[in-house]
Amino acid sequence: MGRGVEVIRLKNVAKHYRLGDNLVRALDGVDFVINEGDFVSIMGPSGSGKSTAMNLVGSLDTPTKGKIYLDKKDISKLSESALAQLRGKKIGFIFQQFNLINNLTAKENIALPMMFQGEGESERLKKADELLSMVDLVDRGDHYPNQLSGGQQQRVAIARALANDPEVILADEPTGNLDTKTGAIVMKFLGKLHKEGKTVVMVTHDPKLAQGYSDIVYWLLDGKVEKITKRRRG
Amino acid sequence: MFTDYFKFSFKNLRHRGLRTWLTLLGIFIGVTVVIALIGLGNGLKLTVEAQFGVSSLEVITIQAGGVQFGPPGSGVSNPLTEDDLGEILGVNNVEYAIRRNIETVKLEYNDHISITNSIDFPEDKDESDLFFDTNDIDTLQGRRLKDSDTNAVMLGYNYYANKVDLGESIEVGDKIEVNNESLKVVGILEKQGSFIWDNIVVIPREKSKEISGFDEEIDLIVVVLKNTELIEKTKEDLESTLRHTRNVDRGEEDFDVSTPEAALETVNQVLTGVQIFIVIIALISVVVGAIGIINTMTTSVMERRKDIGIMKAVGAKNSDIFLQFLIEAGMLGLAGGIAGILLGSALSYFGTVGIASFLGTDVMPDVNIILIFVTLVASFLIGAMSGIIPAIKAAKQNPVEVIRG
Amino acid sequence: MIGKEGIKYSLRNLKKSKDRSFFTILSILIGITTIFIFISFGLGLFSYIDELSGGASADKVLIMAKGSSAPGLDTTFELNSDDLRVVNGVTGVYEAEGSYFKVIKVEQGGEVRYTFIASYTPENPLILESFDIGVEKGKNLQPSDSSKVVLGYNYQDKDKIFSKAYEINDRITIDDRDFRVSGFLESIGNPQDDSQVYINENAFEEIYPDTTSYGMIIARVDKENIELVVERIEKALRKSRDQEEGKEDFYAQSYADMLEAYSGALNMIVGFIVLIAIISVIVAAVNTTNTMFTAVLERYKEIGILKAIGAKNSEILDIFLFESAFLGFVAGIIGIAIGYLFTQLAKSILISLGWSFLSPLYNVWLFVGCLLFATVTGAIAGVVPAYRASKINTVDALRYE
Repeated sequence: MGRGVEVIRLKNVAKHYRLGDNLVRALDGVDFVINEGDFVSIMGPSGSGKSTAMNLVGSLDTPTKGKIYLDKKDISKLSESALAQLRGKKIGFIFQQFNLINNLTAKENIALPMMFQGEGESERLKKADELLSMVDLVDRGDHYPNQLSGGQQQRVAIARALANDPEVILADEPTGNLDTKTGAIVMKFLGKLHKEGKTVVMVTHDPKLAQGYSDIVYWLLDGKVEKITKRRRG
Repeated sequence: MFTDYFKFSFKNLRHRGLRTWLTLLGIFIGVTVVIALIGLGNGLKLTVEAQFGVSSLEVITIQAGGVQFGPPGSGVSNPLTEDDLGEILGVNNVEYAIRRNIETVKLEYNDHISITNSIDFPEDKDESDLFFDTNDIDTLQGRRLKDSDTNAVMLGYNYYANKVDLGESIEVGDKIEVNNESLKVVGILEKQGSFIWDNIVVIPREKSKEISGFDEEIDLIVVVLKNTELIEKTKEDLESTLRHTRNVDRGEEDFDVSTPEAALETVNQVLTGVQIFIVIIALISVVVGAIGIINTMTTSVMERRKDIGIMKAVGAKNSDIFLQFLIEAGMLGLAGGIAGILLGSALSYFGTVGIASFLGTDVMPDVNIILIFVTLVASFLIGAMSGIIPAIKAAKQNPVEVIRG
Repeated sequence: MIGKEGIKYSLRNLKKSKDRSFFTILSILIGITTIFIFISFGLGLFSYIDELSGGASADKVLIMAKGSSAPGLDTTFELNSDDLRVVNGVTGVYEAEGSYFKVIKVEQGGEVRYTFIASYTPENPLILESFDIGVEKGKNLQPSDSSKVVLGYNYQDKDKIFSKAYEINDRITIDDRDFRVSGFLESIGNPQDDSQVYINENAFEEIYPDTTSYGMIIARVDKENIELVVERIEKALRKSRDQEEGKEDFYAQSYADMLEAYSGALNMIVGFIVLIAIISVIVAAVNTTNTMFTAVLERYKEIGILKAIGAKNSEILDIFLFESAFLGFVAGIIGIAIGYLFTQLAKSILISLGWSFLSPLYNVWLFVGCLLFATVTGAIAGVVPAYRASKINTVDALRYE
């Protein structure tokens, strides 16, 4: 487990946007450092800016002020297509609302990120099969999302997030739409991934969840980092 | 990745159901109309060209200048004469110069009359043989006219097929009256598919002069060349000779010397002009159909904001998104185009067959592979072009706005 | 029905989805403009034909020999002074004159043109009457004028027939003979007729003694019984030429009948083109239906809300129907405006080219009709989507995200 190798860094990042006549300061000068192998949680009540933080950490959005480094590269210096490629390779997303593409089967959803990296069809399908078995959904490969339960959909989403074997998994309230039992299964899975060496960044409003699984917790309040707690795990 | 996008768009279009069909319908109707009209126009051209029947022998035809109405020789102010014919015979590379007169005659048979055209048959042995070669005709029944015939005639196919309004068909051996002169039918010509030839009466020259009252005036001179390679040079020589004979200056000619291609050219030009006009109107439907695609794609982009965001989150570049929607739009166009080609081709095929049989021509409507191919490509391109702006909008979509539910 | 609020709501919705409204309007507009343009040209042509067949030609009968596509081209069957005498003797015929026609060569400078020369008797110019024209500039011919001609309208403009224009008393060279221009005729409206040359009958017979047949005989007859008179003329001529019925080598026709044949053909052509234009409108209607379906989907939840607060099914239907009809209406107005501008522009171009008979014509029904057609198309296109909207299940809609 290589610790100390910086994967993602947010340096004095602020994100402002206009809502009608108001200027909303979603994030007002925050610093994040995500190192390889960490399990980081970003915590806070609603309105604290954690969703905005997630978008920036995942380089889905660009900051109003400050810099974001992905793999030590300043993302503002990357072209849109270079950034997309990099992101696709390095980061896997898991969302609260699953966000699977409704027109595609489970297997096709999982294969999708590989397609954008230019992988051939047979390669993609093979890997997708492997990932399906990893999340125990081999017999559901040809089902469409509306034919799967919430828990199953989230598992497909996890498999999809792993499609390109990314370094970082970004989970945005992964258990938010699931019942406690299914949620626990999903969290166990995330934990397993972490043990296998993946960097996990999770956004949650549930402090128990955050402290139960993470090494580091960033506590956000009103767009600023209120405190950072570290916890050694094994 | 391209093939993936094609598969994607196929899935997406199917999924959108009714609205996809409606959009398709627009392009479909438009393409059908365009294909049908182009096909019909071509069929019409072929049919009309068949009326002219270009002979296999390359000849030069000479007419006197005048108003362009009616058969050769009508509408002229200063007809060609035997003198002109004599001079033409003396021109280089001229093997034969054959005079021809086309007259309107009254044909009476079975107590019915028909007003039709006659053409004179030469009384010179060589010329009479050439008659059949230069016009690419032969007899179906009976025998050919001979240079020695005086009271015999040959009739066009329609008299035999009873397509002329005479109540009964005419056969070899029958007697008919032409301008009140009794003549005997000795031969029936093969079906030419040409309105003129299928209704013609071929009369020996002396008799024709008697019946129709002409002598020195000539309607048409057909020039057979010794060496067809020199056709253009000979045309010029003929023109300068006639200018001299008829005492007119260059640029003021009162005659017209033309090669076979030239005559057909004019007809072609007119028909093509008409075709283009009608097709332009039909294209309006295609344009409206394309607008439908713009509309549909714009809506599609809006509806799939979330999916676009998700795809960007899993690594899609702007160009990936753009291409995907562009191809989808192209597929819409293509699908409509394929359906349109099928129906349009069917319509033009049957339409052409109809026109041809009405005019009595045997025309095989041709399946224009090039047109089909061009239409397929054009349908896809039109669809894609209609989709450009929506596709750009899609690519510019900010993933962040849509992912958070 | 739809109330004031309903209308405001509809209009605001249309304005909100500006892109969609724009494209829908554009679709219908294109079709309507095309229809407007072609019908107005069609109307123009029909009125031209009406003009020709009405007025002074309503009491004229035309007798021509069979076989020629145009008078004077064919001399196989003759009409001569004997026939003229016969026609004049028919009951119901007030007077009849023959006109010789011949193709002539006209020269100016180095340019050569071929056209027709027609003869008439200046004391009784029936042929001019039948076109409802007279000598506009200069003088009509005198019976003694053997070297003067009257020219069709186009000769007085340069570059219409020859590069130089002709003026009164100019010299004109016809078939290598010189004549003086006595006058110009009013415009008939088409280039062919407006480029004819007219000469005294006596002069014609002197110059072209070989032409023994009239190109046509025109008779002024009893207008009330014109068909009867035509029959009588045919009978008389048959008798004098010793021909049986059905075997004539001539035909007699009232001007009106002849023009009917033209309008028949015209009907077909205009009808055909308008048909194609209508196809565009159908395609536009399809687009409109598509748009309305999309609108319904977009406002799915909103419709649920409306129903929840008391809107009846029929009111929802009316709102959507109004929206699509309104789109059609706007398209109609713009389409008519563009069509009108276009046809006006075309009209001035055509007139300057000498093709004034092709000018477009308008009437109230054209405007009203197109507008109505556009609006109704919009409405019909929106029927099914509006119906679907009205049938939306309130609860499902409210749940929709």
